[in-house]
Amino acid sequence: MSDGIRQAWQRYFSPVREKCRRVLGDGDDASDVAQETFIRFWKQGPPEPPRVALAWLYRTATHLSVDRLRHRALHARAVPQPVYGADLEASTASRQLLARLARDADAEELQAAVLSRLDGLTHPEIAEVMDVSERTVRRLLARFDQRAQREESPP
Amino acid sequence: MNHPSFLALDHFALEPRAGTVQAHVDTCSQCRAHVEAVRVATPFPAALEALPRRPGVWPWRPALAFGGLLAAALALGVVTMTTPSAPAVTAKGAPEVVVWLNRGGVVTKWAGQPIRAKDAVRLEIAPAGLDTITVYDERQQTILYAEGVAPHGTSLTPAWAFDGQAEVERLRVIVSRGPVPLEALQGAQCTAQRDLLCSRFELRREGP
Repeated sequence: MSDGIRQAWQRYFSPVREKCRRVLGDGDDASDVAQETFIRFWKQGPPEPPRVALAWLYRTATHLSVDRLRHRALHARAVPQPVYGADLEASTASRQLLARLARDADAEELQAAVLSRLDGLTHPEIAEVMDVSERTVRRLLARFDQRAQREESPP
Repeated sequence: MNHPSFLALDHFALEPRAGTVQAHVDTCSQCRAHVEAVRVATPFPAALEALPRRPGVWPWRPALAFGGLLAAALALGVVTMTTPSAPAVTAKGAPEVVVWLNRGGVVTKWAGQPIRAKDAVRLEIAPAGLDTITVYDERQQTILYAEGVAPHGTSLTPAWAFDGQAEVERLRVIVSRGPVPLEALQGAQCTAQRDLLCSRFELRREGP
């Protein structure tokens, strides 16, 4: 049992932690959410192959991170400065936008937006992670974009 | 520069394979740094040492040893190919689905008999010219498996172990041209459509 959980930790925890940092920044929240994700993963019995395991981890980490973002928005907590991103400037802007919209946007919209804007997933990849169709992904992202446009250009 | 997604990079970090991700990582320092970062193991927290794994949350957990067992059984001639036909759809011109049952390491063709906890099943499917296999769990309303396959010959799915919790497990095997989204399966009947054929299996638990 111990070897199993250690092995799973060594394989999967670092990608999960980095994923949470992309959404939540480099604070304690990211570490908490990453650990919570891993614990759920282990308790359910890690699936194989790794591609399936990663999709499950991305889905759960995204759910938990969005919950945390919404909690922050409701309690007006500042978002820690980002530390990571394929394109730091773009990911900073995306994270700030997500933080602003976290209070009002639908959770699924936010999850799709996180996977698209911060994790850089393609539509088929988002569909795989969220277990929805690509058409649903396009609809969620379009709704998020409309909401973002309204946020950026108030009447 | 278009980067692969972080999901693709994380997958590559776990299972390096030659291909477009490899080619990109070789030339992009940013993505290479990410791959190297996620390969660095984080110290394991001792508090998690005794964390139990809860069995049965996923009723159809992958049973990875099955493939080897099936191959070994076939090699040894253990599998009887003349056992009674499983209740699979085998109508003329339709895809053929065979359910293989692994009970305690002995692999046989499933013929409708009750199943026990820890039994594992694996599907062998001849797609008859179609190109996508989807296995849907009606009780959990989830897709267990979805994969593009060669239209001719046969394909084997992964194996799933039965946790013995539910009295009956109902699986649908959909062979189609192109993927079938989850919404199209939820609440829908298992009926044939143009370029889509559906087989349904009820696996009943032995005893009360």
